Amino acid sequence: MPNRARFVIHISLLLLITLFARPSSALSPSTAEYPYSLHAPEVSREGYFVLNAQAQPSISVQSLWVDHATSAEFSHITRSYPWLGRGVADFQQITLTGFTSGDHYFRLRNAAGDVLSNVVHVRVDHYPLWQALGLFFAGLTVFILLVVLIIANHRTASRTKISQSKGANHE
Amino acid sequence: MLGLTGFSVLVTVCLILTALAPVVLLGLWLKDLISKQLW
Amino acid sequence: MNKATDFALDSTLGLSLVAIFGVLWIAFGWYLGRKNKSHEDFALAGRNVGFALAAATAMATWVTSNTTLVAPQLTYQLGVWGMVGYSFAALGLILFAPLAARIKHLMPHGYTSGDFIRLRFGRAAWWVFMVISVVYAMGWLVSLGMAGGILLQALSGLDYHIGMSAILLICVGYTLFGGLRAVIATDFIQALIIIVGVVGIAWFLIDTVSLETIHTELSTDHPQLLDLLFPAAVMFLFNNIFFGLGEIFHSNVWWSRALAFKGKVAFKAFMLGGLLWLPIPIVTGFIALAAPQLGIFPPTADMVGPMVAAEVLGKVGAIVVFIVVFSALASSLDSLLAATSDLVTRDFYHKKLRPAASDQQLLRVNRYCIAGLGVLTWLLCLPQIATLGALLNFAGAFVASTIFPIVFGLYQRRLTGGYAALAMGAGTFAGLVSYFAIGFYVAALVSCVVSALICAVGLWRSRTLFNWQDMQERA
Repeated sequence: MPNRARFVIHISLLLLITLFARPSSALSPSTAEYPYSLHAPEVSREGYFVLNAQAQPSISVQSLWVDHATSAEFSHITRSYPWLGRGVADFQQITLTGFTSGDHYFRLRNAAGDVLSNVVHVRVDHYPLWQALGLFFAGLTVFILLVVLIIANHRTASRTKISQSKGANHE
Repeated sequence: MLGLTGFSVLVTVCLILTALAPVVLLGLWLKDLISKQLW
Repeated sequence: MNKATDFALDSTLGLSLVAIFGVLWIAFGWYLGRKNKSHEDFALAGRNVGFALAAATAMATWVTSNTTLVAPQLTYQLGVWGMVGYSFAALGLILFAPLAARIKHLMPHGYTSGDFIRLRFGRAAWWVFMVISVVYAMGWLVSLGMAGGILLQALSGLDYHIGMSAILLICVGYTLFGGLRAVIATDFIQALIIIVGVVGIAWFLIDTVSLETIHTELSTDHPQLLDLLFPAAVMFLFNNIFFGLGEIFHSNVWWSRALAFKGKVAFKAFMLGGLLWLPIPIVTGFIALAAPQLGIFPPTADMVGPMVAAEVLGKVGAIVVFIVVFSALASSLDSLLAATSDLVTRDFYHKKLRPAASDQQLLRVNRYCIAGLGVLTWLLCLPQIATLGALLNFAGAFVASTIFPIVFGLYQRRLTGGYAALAMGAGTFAGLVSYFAIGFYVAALVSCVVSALICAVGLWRSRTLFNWQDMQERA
């Protein structure tokens, strides 16, 4: 039995080593041709999300911009966001916010306008309003109940306190 | 959508109220200090 | 762009500021602590805190790092509703005002929230309550310690471990010397520093980039942030309110204050503290809305406030932010250290281990507890594990379950310990399940509703009446 256990461990270790030994480019072939690989969540339900960037080891330090477009072809760049600091050397991520529902595409570029990364796609899908308002009114109901409860009890308690002290005065 | 007027009023009013807070606190402190009610 | 890259302050200046404040606070704590003769002096400031200091401490303790960091973060993420919703957390202080008066009336000689639960509901509920309290207190302590280290690093490049250790050492130092008296007096000064700093930053911001340009930028490029029917923000609103209510209603930080305030001061102080606190998150949150206009898109959302301030005011701004954040962290950290060590000293040492302990022994144990908690927090902060700080995120599920048991426990004689324990346990469980199954925006709400329903059943089924005289326990 111990021999078989050892065999299983060896095989699994071997598998693990081969897994790690694969070049990173083999894991995501689409990003290999760019100096940076950009990552983003597929869906955001709140309209804000974090973009992550990783640089290939040989990339020199440079300022970066994130381009935003509503189509994958980037035929019309709606807006550019400056990456904080000296690009990936300082910060690996950027938090963008305030997007409306729909498809949003992002990619990195440098000051000269050269495209430096793959295109990432984030689908912003805000919660339906009925769901939000449902929770809102559920919360409101419980809250009003609590406030009424506290005020009513506070009044009763102060009244009994007053009558108690009055009673004490009479005695 | 919150309009410019609503936005400005909200921020300005809150800024003024916040700015008044130290005045209120220092006033109360002075009152307590004079009447020896601090602690 | 280089300005944001190089740290806003050099680390020598950062360290000097920390050292100056450290020496001042500790000396002040020692000065105030000279009068402490008994354990009651140390833990409850002699139960004689006046209105001004009481209102200021209520406000300042609630202005945590959360108000200076999370309010801008939520505003950056959820827009106008984020800051308005965050400011509704003031309702916690305001609604605690009547409860504080009741607490003072029911247990004039009590020490902690644990005392109340033990006397009113018995052992089973006490255990559930203690687990909730400890999870919350440790989550908050660790997140404050880590926030201190991370912030000092972000602003001045000071090493995380040095910043984190310094802020813990300073807070433990003056709390150890001065007890609650030092905590309250430093809170008063810290409250003034925080407000003046925040108002100054907001004022400069409006002066540099007008409200109009901020509004125009937001409506063209980030319309969702101005949307009053922003679904995620609408969902977050009441959950956040119940989270805040749970935090204040259960935590010994607030109970020990209610018990320490002079006679009729408790009600007025919490009411005024809440009203003074109400507009602050809108002012700090608004700072974040200027970020897009200034071209600031932070790596993580919680850095947005300090980054905008440093950008607008340059070096002076960075110093102001540094001092404000440091004060906000300290005013919560000291309170939490004092209140949690009171809980350990009173509820575990005095009531479970050594009922015959003398006053001087209690005083000594309380001091050991403060130092011990400081060391424990330091050890937990050392590896800088983000998940530990995230503990506070689902603390909402824990604390919201205590709201109804505490309110009914304070006013209704019918609710029994069994139902209170069940309400807190099941509420927490349901809150945690909904946190992972649905999302963060329902955890506190579900927890509160489930515990309210169980309490309602408890009130309806119960045939026994609690005798209020049983609350009167002599120390």
